[in-house]
Amino acid sequence: MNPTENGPSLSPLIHLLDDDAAVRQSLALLIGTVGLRVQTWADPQQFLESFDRQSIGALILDVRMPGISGLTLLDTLVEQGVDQPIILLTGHGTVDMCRRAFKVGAVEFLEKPVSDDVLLDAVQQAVRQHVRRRERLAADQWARKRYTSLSEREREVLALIVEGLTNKEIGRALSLSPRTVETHRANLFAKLQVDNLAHLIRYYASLVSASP
Amino acid sequence: MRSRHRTFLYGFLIWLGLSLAGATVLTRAELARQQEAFTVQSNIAYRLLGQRLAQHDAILQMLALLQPPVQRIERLGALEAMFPQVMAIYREESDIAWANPQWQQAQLQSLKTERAVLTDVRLAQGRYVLLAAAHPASFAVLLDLNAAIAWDEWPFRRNGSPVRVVLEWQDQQWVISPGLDHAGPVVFQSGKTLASPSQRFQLHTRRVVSYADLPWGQVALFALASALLVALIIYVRKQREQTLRAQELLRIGQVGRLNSLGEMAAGLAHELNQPLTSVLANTQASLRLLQEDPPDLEPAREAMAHSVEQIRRAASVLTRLRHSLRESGLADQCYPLSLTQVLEESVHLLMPELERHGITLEKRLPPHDVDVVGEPVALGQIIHNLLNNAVSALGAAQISHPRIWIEVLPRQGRVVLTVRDNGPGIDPQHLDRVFEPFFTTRSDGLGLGLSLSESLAQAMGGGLTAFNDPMGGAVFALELQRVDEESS
Repeated sequence: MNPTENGPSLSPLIHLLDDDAAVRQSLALLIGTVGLRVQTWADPQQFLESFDRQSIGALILDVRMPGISGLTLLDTLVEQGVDQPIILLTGHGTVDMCRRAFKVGAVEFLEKPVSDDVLLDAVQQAVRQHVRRRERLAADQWARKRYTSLSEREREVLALIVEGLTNKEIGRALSLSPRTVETHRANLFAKLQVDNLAHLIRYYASLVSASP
Repeated sequence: MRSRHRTFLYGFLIWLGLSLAGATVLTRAELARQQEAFTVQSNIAYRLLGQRLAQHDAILQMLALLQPPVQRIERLGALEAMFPQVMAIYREESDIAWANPQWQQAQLQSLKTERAVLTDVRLAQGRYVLLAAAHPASFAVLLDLNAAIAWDEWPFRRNGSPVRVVLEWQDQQWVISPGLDHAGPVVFQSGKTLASPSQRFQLHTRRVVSYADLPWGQVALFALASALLVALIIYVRKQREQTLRAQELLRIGQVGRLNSLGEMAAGLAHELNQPLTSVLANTQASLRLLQEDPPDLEPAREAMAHSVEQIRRAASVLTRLRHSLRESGLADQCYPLSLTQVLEESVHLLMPELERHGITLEKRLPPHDVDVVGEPVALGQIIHNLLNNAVSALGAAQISHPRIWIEVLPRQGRVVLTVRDNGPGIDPQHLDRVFEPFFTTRSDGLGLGLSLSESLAQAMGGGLTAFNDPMGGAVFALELQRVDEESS
């Protein structure tokens, strides 16, 4: 089993938005040295319209740009449900600006000129965070799909297994013979493609408690 | 200009109000004084006339008592001399009727009332007869009131007195003085019956106060004084307003310059930050590329080329800034002006501050005006900043007898203005940093005042230096271009 097999399997892509060409070039080069792909954008509007929302990676936004400020752009992106972690870059950050950025959901707030360690650390951590987030999302979707294939009785049995009951106890609770319970249990493990109880609980505990 | 008109209108209204109030108070006081005088004079007249009438009763009583024979009446001339109002004395045996039936009637009345009785009254002429029945003979005296009044004691002048004085009896009246017959806003009057039981005359006094009697002179004087007062107040207020306005102008100029300086600094920071960001990123990327095994030379070389380009860009930002500062145009706005005058104005503006801190200011200025090349507002700002600096240094150090010395020393082609204080002086460590922008030792200071002053001084072709006086205290020396008498 592989929970990520249905998600985008592309290598991480960093979107870098800054109105200054020299800054774009140099930061892209620097980020490239750790093997990450970088797509640079000069115009916030164009970026909003055409960047790939499915890509895995992170967004780096300059706060001070003509037309639209990085903070406003941050608001818009969060509103649109963009899930890539966002790193803000600024030439003259204030505590207030920083607080606002974190409140809205930025993961980092860096001051220019930024040191390579700090920037690369932040970018790599953001990418890892995004990969994990996407994996969790994919796993969730995968588990949900499997769960729907269970019969009514099998779901009842699953709920009680997750609660920690033994076959005997489940049989008593559902007025079934322990043998029937054992059959349901085997079918359920097969349908959900899990081979031990730990797996089962990891993927389905939340689904079971959420279902009516 | 509108506000000026309004000031004058308000001033005029205040003056009008003051003058009216003053006129009312003065007029009332004058009227009260005149009424008092009138009452006192009327009472005196009443008393004097009353005394005379009492004398008449006394004369008749004396005659009735002494019963002088008819023959001896001639010898009563002494009596007439003593009482000039007695014109004649008549005697009649009590069993013989008086020839005049009026007198006879009075005789009967006198017998009944046992006192002297008036008869044959011709008050218009001031004449009447007083008759007393007695035994064996009755007596009568013919009296003339014209002679009864002792004019040297009388409170009213005989002619031309403003008070009308009239004696009345039944429907007859005797005008003692006619008074002035004019119209007027106020009338005083009094009427009293004289105290004599035999001669029950009424004394009426009446005075019309004419407009001419009102205290016009005092009112005019008061109006003039209040006009002067109002003018003085307007003048003082205007002076204060002008001082405030001048201070405000200076402050706005200062804030404006500081603001533009701050904005420039922010813009400069941004313009330098971008190339710095790029240079740092490129250089660090190159380092990483070179550390690879094998080193990735081509991209590293490219990155270094980009860095060089960005360093040039940063340098050009600074060059542009220097040009724009040089071309800020203050030098073009400079013209010959009196340093002494600008100095006096700046000192005047800071006087309240100096007084508040108890600072003694000593000026050593040349006896004549010293003309320099400068722009008045900028020059004023420099001097203001230097003085202000000294004031805060003295205030912070809490010197017991704080002093500031200002000296103007004309040199060949130059003028040096020094501002010295007896504060703690400048920390020698800070001496070469005081003109640095954003350098300050004050917690509330921006650190731009001295830096700005130095820039302004240089823009006017002068300079500003700071040092510590060997005797203690900080000295700031502002050097300016002097305009020589011969060349101007």
